[in-house]
Amino acid sequence: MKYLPTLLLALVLSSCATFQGNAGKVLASTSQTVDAAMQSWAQYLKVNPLPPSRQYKVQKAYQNYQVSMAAAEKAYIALAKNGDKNGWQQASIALTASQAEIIAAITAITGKGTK
Amino acid sequence: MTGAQIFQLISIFGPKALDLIESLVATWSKELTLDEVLAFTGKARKTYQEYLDEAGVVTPPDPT
Repeated sequence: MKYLPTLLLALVLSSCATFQGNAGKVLASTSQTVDAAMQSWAQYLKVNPLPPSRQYKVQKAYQNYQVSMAAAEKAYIALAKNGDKNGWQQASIALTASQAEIIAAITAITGKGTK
Repeated sequence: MTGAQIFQLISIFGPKALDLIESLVATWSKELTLDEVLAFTGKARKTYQEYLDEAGVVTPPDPT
């Protein structure tokens, strides 16, 4: 029984570490996925040149992603340094949505996908 | 990562999806430091035009 506070503390600390750890992995994997999508998009454009008006939706979606990533990065730093979880949930939702927007914009133009 | 998710990635990215999947598996299999995470997030600072320039994309003008 006397070890219960220590045990509880260890549990809280480990769950905090897991929360932060997962947050970092969400950021990293989103970054990797969008980077790959944008490289594929650029390769598609190299073979299938499109004027700016046709690229606009992808460009806009990417710019929205950049804003979301900046906010998510800020929320993650607050989480990592101060244990502040408040901003992360909202930021991660927006980030995930912006990633989906990019992929949707790309596949709407390329059809089944980029090569 | 489920089979359905892998199939979706392949349909979007083509064969390069396998490289992405390998990178994602590596990312999720270990703990990342703050600096490692920030190195990933820093990739988002690349501009749209920089992606095109790196690939050698030539953008034709819009028809008048």
